[in-house]
Amino acid sequence: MVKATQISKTYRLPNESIHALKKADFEASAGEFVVVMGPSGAGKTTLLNLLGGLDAPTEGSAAVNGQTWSEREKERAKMRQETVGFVFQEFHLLPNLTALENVEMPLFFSRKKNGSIAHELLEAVGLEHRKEHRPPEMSGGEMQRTAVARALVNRPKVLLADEPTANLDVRSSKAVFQLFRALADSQGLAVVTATHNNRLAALADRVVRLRGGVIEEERRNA
Amino acid sequence: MRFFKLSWKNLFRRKTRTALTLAGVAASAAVLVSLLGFNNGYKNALEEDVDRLGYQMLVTAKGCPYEAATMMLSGNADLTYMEEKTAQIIMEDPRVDKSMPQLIHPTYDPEREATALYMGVTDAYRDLKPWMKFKEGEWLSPGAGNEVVLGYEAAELDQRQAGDFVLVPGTDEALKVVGVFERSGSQDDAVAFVRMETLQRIFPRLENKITGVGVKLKEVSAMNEFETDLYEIPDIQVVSMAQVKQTIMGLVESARILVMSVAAIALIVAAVGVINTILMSVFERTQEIGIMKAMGASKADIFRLIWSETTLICAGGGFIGCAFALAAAQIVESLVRNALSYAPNGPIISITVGLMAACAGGAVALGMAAGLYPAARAASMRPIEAIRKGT
Repeated sequence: MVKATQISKTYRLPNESIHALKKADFEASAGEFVVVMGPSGAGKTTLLNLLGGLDAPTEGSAAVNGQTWSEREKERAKMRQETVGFVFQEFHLLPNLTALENVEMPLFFSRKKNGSIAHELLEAVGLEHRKEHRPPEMSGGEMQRTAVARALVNRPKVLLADEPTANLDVRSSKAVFQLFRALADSQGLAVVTATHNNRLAALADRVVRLRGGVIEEERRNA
Repeated sequence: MRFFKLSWKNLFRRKTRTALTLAGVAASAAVLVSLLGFNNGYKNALEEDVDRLGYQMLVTAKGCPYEAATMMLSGNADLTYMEEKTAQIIMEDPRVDKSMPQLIHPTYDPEREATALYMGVTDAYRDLKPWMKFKEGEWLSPGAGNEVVLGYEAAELDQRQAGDFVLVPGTDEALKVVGVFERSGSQDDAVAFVRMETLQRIFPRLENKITGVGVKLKEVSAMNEFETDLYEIPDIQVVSMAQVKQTIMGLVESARILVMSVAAIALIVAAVGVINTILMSVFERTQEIGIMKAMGASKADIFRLIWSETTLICAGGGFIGCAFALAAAQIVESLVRNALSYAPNGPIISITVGLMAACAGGAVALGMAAGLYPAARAASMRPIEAIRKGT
C-alpha cells in the first residue's frame, strides 16, 4: 500500500550535508500496522514525511497505492487528499474551530460532501459528546483522538503518525495505539507510526528500527 | 464549511488586531465617501443657487472677478459701484428681456455684532424672481418711502414681522416692515429689501450709484455677442452665470484635488495596514498552513483562504465606513459649512446609494489588491518547511 524504494534524503547546509535517510527500503501493506522506532535523529520523521509526500527524496522514490509521488505540488496535494492521513505529535488542531469543524476541515479542501462521516468518526474515537468543544477545552488524549478522526475523514489508504503519543499519558497513549490497531484490522488501513515506546510497539504487526538514517532491523511481532 | 466561514473565524482569533485594521479601512472609506459626497453636494447646491438668481449675467463695476462672483451670490465682498446712468444704457438694450438693478449695502450693527445686508431694488426684482413668496405682508409701495421687505432669515434674526419697524444701523432712519418672504433657500433669505431710491436717500454717498445689474436676455444664444458689446462700455465687467459656476467650481476643484490626494494617501496607508496585519497573521500561522497542506490543501486553497480574510476585512471596513459617513453627514455638513467662506444654501454633502456602493466596492477592490501578496506568500510555502518553521 505504501512503499519506499532505495530512498535517501540529504539536507544541504552551508557547511555540511546531513544524510537523514540512506537508501532505505520500506513497505507497509493494507491492513498492516507498522511501528518505526529509533533514537532522535535516526530518520523516523524524515521517512514518514517522504512516505506521505510532504517532502521529496534526494534519491529513490516513494509510492502510495502503486502511485509514485509527483514532483509537482498540485498533484502531490491531490494525492495527499486521496490517499494519506497524517497525525502529528502536537495535534495541530485549529484552536478557533470546534472538534467537529476540525474533523471536517480536510473535506473542505477535497470538496467532498460532508454527510455524516465527521460525526461517525468522532463517535468512532469516542468523542461525539465533545463535538462542539474547542481544542483548549479538551484533554491531550481527546485532542489527539480528534486529530486521528481528522486524518481519517477523507478515507485514506495510509495513516502516518509521527510520535502521536509523545505528549499523552500512558492511558491515552494506549487508547490511541489500540485505535490504530482497530483501524488496520477493521478498515484495512496501512498504519505507520513513529514512537519511542516499546510497550506500545507491541501492539503493531511489525517494528522497523532506524539508526543514523539506515534501517537497522525489522522484526515482526508475534 | 465554506472558505468565507473559515476566514471569518480566523479573523476573530485576534479580535483587537482585526478591529483596529477594520477601523483603519472604515476611517479611510468614511473620508472618501464624505469627500466625494461633498464634491457632489457642493456642485449641485451651487448650481441650484446660481439658477435661482433669476438672471443670466451680472454687470458690475470693474474689479476683481472673484469678488464680483462672491457678491453675486452673497453680497458680502468689498463693493465697488457703477453709475446708474451706465446701468440705464444696458437695461435699454433691445436684446434685454428683463433687468434688475441692485444696490447692495452691508451695514455693521454694533448692538447685534452682525452685518445687516440691505439691497436696493426696483419692481424688476419681483419680475425676475417670481418664486419669492410672501409669508406675510406685501411688496414695497411706489415711491421712496421708509419701507422694507425682509427675507425669512433676516426677519427671524431681528424677530420682526409685518407692521414692525427696523432701525437702519448707523442712521436715525426707521423702516416699516411691509412684508416678509417665505424661506427660499437662497441668499435672499438674509437680505432686507428696500426701494433703490430709499437706500440712496438714507446713504447719500450712494446717490446715482448701483452695485450691479442682473440681466436676462430674450435669447440665450445672444449672450456672447451681448457680452462682447458690453465691454465697449468703460469700467464695467460682466459676470455670466456660467462664469460664476466655473469660477467657484475651479476653486472647489483645486481644493478637491488636494483633499482627494490626502484621501488617496489614507487609502494607501489603510492598504499597507491590511497587508501588514494579514502578513503577520500568515507568519503566525505558518505551521497551521503547513498542516493544512498536509491535509490536502492546494496552493489555490491557501491563496483563497488568506485572500478571503483580506477581502472580508476591507469589505467590512468599507461598509462600516460608508454607514458612518452617512450617519455623520449632518455633522460634517455643519463643520464644512462653517469652514467655507461661501457655502451654497442647499445640502452641500450629498451621499447617494450609488456613491456608497462605489466606495464599498472600492474597499473590496482594495482588499483584493492588498491580499494578493500575503495570499501568494502563504500559498507558496512548502508544507514540510512550514510545519518545521512553526516548531
